[in-house]
Order: sequence, then C-alpha cells, then structure tokens
Amino acid sequence: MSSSRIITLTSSDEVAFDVDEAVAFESQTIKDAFGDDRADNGTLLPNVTSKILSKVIEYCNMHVEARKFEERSGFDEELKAWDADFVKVDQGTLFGLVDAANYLNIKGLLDLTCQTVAEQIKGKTPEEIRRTFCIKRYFTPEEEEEVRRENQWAFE
Amino acid sequence: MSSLSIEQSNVIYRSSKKQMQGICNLPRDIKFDILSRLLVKDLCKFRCVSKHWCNLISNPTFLDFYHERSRDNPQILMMNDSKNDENEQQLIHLNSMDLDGKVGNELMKSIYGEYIDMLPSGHGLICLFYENHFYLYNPATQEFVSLVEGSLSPCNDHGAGFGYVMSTKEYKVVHMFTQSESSTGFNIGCEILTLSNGDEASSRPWRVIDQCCPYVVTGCALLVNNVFYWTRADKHGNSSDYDLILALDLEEENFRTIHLPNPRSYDEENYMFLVELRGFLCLVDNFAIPPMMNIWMLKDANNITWVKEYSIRFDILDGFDDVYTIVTPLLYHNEEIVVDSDQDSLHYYNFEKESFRRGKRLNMQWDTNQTWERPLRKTRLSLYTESFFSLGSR
Repeated sequence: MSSSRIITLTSSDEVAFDVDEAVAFESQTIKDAFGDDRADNGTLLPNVTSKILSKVIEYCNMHVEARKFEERSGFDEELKAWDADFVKVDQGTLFGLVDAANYLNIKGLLDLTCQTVAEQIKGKTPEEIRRTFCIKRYFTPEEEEEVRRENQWAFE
Repeated sequence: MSSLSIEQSNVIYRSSKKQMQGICNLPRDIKFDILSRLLVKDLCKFRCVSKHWCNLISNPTFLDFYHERSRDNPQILMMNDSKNDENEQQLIHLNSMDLDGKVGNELMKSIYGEYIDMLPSGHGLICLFYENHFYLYNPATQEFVSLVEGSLSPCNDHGAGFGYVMSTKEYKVVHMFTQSESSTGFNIGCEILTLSNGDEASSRPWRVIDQCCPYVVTGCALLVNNVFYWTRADKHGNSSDYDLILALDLEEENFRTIHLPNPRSYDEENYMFLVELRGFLCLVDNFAIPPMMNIWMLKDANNITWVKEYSIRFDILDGFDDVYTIVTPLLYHNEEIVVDSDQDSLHYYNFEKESFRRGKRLNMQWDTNQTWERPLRKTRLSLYTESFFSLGSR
C-alpha cells in the first residue's frame, strides 16, 4: 500500500495548509484536479480565505475520521451534534462556507450549510428576512401590494 | 504547485468579492437549493421579501426543481372527522406534518357525506369524496375546492379514483356510476375529470367516456403511469370471480383486465390491495399464516409480467397483531418501505437489515367507543408532497 501524500492548499490570503490526500479529496473539485497525477502536491485556491479554508479542513478532517467509527451505535447522533456545533458561526462565515463547499464540491458540507441557512429563514416574516440578510425591496408600492394580495393566504 | 484551472476558478468568481453580503450573491443553483428546503406556504410569504425573491420563487425552473425535490420528501396528511348528528355533514379536520411529526398546516371543513373517502394522489393533491360529491385539497397551500357533482347513481357501490399524470402534469379523477337500469340489467358508465395547474377546479366538467365499464368494481382506483387500476373486479352478477384487476387506460380510454400473479395461494383470510412503489403497480398480498406480506410488481404492463419483488415478514413488526393489524405500504422512500399498521406512528422496513424501525409518534385519534379488544385508530393517514399546484380559487 503506497503512502498517501500531503497536499498543500493555499488560501487567497496566501496561508498554506498541509492536508492528507484523503482529507483534501473530500473536495470532489480537488480530487478531480489531482486524481492520479502524483507530480503535483499543492494548489492555490484564489476564492477561499484562510479563515474559511481552515473551517473547511476542520470539517473534512472530522468526516474522514468519522468514517472509521460508522458501525458504532450512537455514532450518527454524535456526528450530527458535531455538525450542528460546527455551523454555529456568524452569517459571513456561514455564507463563506456555502460558497466554499460549492466551489470545492464537498457534498456533505454543502448540504449541511444550505440546510442551516434554510433553518434560519424558516419561520421569519419577510421584514425579518430583509433585516437579517440586508436585502432591499426593489418593489414599487403598487407591485408590493399586488404580491402581498396574491399571497395573502400564506399569512393567515 | 499548480492552480485550479481557469474554468474551476471562474465558477465562483462573481460571488468572491461580495461574500460578506451573503445570500443575494450566491449562485442561482445554490439559492434554489436553499429555498427548496422550505415549505410552500413559507415560500409564498417570501415572495414579498423583494422583487428578486418574488421572481425567483415564481420562476418555472425553480418550481420544477422544487417539485422534483419535494417528491423525495413526502409529508403526512392526517384526517379526522366527526359527524354532525343533525344533518349529513361531516366536520373534517386535516392536519399536515413532516415525517418527524413536526406539525404544519391545519384545516377544518364541513362537508356533506356519511363516510368520506380519502383518495391520495401520491403527489400534491388529495381528493375526498362521498357518492358523487368530490373535493380537492392541496395541503401545502390549504386550498380546498369542491368539484362539479359527478353523475347521480342509484347504486353507489362503484369505484372512484384519483391520481397525477407526470407526463402531462395533470390530475385525473375517475368516477363510475350506474348509467341506466332496465329489465336486462344496468350499464356502468365511467366519467373523468381532468385538471391542470391554475384551472378553476370548481368549474371543471366531467366527461363520460364512450366505453362502459365491463365489470363491477368496488373500492378506489390507483393511477400508475396513465392507467387506473382496481381490484375486486367481477363480471356483473358473478361474485366468485375475484381474480382480476381492471385497468382503465386513460390514453386509449378503454378497459382491459389483468390476471393476478401466478402462482398465488388465495384464501379467504387474505387481504389484497394495490399500491404504487417505485413507479410500478404493485399487488400487496397479506397472508395470515405465517404473517407475511408479498409484494408483486407489475414490471411489464403490456405483457403483464409480475415479479415477486418483496417478501416481508410482519410478525417482526412491533405492535403487530395478527387478528387486527392491516399493514398498508405507503411508498418506497430512501430504500425503505414506509408502512402504516394502524398504530400511532409509521414504520419503515429496511431491506438490508430485514427489520422495521418505528417513526416518530404522531398525534392520532382513537375510537373510544369501540368494543374490539384493541383500540381502533380513527385518524386516517396518507402521504402527499409539497406542491404549488393551484386549484384556481384564489
């Protein structure tokens, strides 16, 4: 069995992270880029800051480790709890993780972060959503009234 | 050291600069992903957030994506009714919830009928009916509409059916009725009501098809791939002939029969019915001894090829009682079969583990006046999927 290599991932702000191949390959994008090409051992990720990249690597590390304990009972709940804690971050970081998970094509992380954003939206009024995410209406008063009228049943 | 290719870097280029502004700058397919995790009612409220959100949530591409995804996430509809003794009205109480038992929408309606039958479509709408009175309900939007009355029938022991045709995105209601009576007998007519999204459902007409129904069928039909199926077909007057399934092809508008799978040990204690699993018509054969459920799948509807797809012992189902329990498979979901065994939760049969697991406890109503040894559940359950389908009443 050949030893797995270390891959260096460098963030947009030029911080280098050394990760095991297995961990790096949680990203389908990285896995596709490196594949069997053993000459390469690092890459620059111009769209991911070091803050986000370190979180992403933390996620990948945990999920690769976790696979060794899949059979253990109660394991599912433990991992879910870890995931729930992992996404208790500020809004900027959360969207940074969504972006990075999409760019790096890490299915589990994308699913987790999208679900987290969805949970934050659920149950809010339109006004609360605007405030939370700094969204501008861009409706004319007439347009807004019409949309409200058409969907009035949803507010009852 | 290399960089990712130009294409790979460009994927997120447009959002890289404004990460801190979050949601509005996410790529469209990510916005789709996030929003498709919400319920229809919430999404309709969120059309009011901004013009951009309104366009997004009304975009046909998003709606298609949403519907595809909601098919993987069925919801539960619970129905309770109570009779008003003064007139023939029933007070219907409809409760939606997700598979975790998290409560969603609730609706109460007073409708006419001694015993209201519930016909799920396996998709976004539910049909309720009594004799020739039909109602359609979308649990996601809580839109409730009564249809034009079906043909009157002196004998009301005939079939009705409801379902969704994916290829045309239409819902179909079918109703059988006694067409004429004479000294030589009677004809069973068949009428169909077709509904597309946005149609004013309350004014949609019934259309009687040319062919009469050659068999007496009772119970509700199941729609699979543009064909309605009934069990318990027997030729007029011949009560011994229960070995056929009647099929109504909606495209050709003709009837044909399908023999039951062979060999099949039929005995009076059996309880047999039809269900759709994985897009195929299935015949569920529940045996008493040993307590077993055989599920036959009609793999080829044209050449009538049945395959015994699943055999499930249900004495391993906790709460199972071989005298009273009727196990109804509801659907195939995440490689498990979801069954309703008249208990306070659904059960999920896992093929790999060959065992059932119990779902979350649901708030059901039980019959307190009953005289059976075991409490009978009053609440009726069916599954539906969140859908924006409009019945045209708003």
